[in-house]
Amino acid sequence: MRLVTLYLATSLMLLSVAAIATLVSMFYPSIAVICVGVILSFAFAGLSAWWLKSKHLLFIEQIELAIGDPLGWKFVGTGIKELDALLRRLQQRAEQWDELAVGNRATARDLEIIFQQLNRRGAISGTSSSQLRNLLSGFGQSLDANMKQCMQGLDEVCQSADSLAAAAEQQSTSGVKTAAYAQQIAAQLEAIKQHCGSIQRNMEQTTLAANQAVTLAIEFETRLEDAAQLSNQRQLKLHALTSPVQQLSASLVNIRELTARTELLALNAAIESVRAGELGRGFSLVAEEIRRLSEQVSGVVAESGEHIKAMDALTNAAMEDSHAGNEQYQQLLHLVHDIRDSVQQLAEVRQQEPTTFVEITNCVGLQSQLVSEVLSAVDQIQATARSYRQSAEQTSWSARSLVKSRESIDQAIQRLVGCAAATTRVSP
Amino acid sequence: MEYYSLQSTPTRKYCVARSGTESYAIAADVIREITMVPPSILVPGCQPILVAMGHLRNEFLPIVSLAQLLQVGHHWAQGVVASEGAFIAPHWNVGTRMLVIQGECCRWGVLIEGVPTLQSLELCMTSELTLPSTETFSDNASHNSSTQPVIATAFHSDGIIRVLDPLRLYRRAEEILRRAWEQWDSKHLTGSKQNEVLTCV
Repeated sequence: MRLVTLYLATSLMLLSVAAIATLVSMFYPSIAVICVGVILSFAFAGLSAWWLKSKHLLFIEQIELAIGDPLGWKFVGTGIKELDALLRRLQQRAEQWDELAVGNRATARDLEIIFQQLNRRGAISGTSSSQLRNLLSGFGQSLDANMKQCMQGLDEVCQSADSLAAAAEQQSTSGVKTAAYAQQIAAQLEAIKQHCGSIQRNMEQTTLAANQAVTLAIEFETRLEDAAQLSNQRQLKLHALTSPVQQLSASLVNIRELTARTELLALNAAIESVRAGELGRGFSLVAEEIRRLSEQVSGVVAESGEHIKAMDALTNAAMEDSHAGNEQYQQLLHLVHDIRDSVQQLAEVRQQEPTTFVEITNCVGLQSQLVSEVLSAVDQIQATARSYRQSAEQTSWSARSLVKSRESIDQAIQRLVGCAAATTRVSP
Repeated sequence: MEYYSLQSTPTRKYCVARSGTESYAIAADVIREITMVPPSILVPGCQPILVAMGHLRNEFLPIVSLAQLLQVGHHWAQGVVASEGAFIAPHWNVGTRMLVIQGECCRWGVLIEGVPTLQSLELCMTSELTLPSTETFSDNASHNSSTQPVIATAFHSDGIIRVLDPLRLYRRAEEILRRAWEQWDSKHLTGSKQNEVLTCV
């Protein structure tokens, strides 16, 4: 838009020059002079247009060099959609305003040079001078309006750059926190890995202990079976011992009966001696002795019977104890068998579980690797944030420098207005 | 010569036996022997005093229950229920013994409990000790002191001992049995057979 205006301004200037040449030819009515004047006017207009175009291109290149980042500004995405959009928009606005500011500065400078040349020439008519004054005044006003808009845009650029720097700072802080959390997670994962390793080692030791326990249980079971066999043999012997005891009891019954018969025999002998009277007195003594002997035998038999009863009771008690011991041995055997089975199952489970712990360890290692990648990504984000912050600071600095150049542009505009006033004063 | 003299002499020996809770004494010189209860069999339809008929050395002996005879209420044989027409071998207790007494015409046995002892006793003659008369077995029998078997008492370490007269015991048993058989005969036998049975008895 500014380029068209520049072309129009340039064309107007050329037309004014052609008009001046036409007025000169009216005072000097020679056709040749008129033709030479017209040709010179067109030639001067073409040269002026070519010169303005070349200057304009030069100015554009200078603006591009001014806008271009000598440090190699490149847009780097942060991964945050809104921030990236803001950055892109900010970058476009900054480029536009930089371009506009540079173009305005160059145009003002060139116009100042043109008006200085025109002021030095001093052969401009009053009408043309008035028109030129109006033209310059409008141009200065439009330039002033553009400068105001440019300043307003620069203020927005400064604010956006400040907010961008703040956002980048916040992003950097968040990145630092994220990196700290990731490091903590990595430390925890490492601790979990170490715990898994220690648990695996403990389980291996437990498996070894369980295998040893199974071996000991088998040995204990074997010895218990031997002890149970010995107990069975002891019970059989005790059972065999009861038979002689019972036979001895039966013999004692017979002895007791014989003793009773002997006692009866002694009594009968005593009765016979009584019946014999004096002649049987000696026989009665013998009968009495036999009766006493029978009584003693009865006492001994009774005592033996008590002993045999006690022995029988002891034998029966021993048999009962032996039977109870056998039952306890059987229960112990079952118990040891169950213990062996349980420990064996435990050992088998222990042998299967290490695979799971290896998988857990592998998963933890993978997670550690992922956390490391997260850390590297956070570092990249922090680097990006730093570059954004630097870019925002540079943008802010550039905008402020443009704001500073506003005074010189205002002075140039004032001088342009002053040049127009001077032209007005000279023309009468 | 009297079969049994009541005169007590220091040298006279008595066979002291026990029947139930009572102790009795019989003169040793009338006792033939003391023996185990021989193989025996119940007599069907007989009075309880005649416990069984025993076989001892080729001789059949009537075995009398002293407890039943003296009415002390003790059964010597267990399960002895002599029904008519039943011949049952009784089961004796282990401590049961039999005194074989020489009677006037035959030997007979008396069941006692335990082993008797021979003792010299100092008798105390008394007429206060009376036993139930045979009237309990027969209404026609009259009470006669000559049938009382307890003729004296004596003191011993075990307590009071009743001295029995074996002859009176025999007569008492004979009287009881005779009356019982008479009653039985009146129910079952004719007159001719009754005379034959009485002759046999």
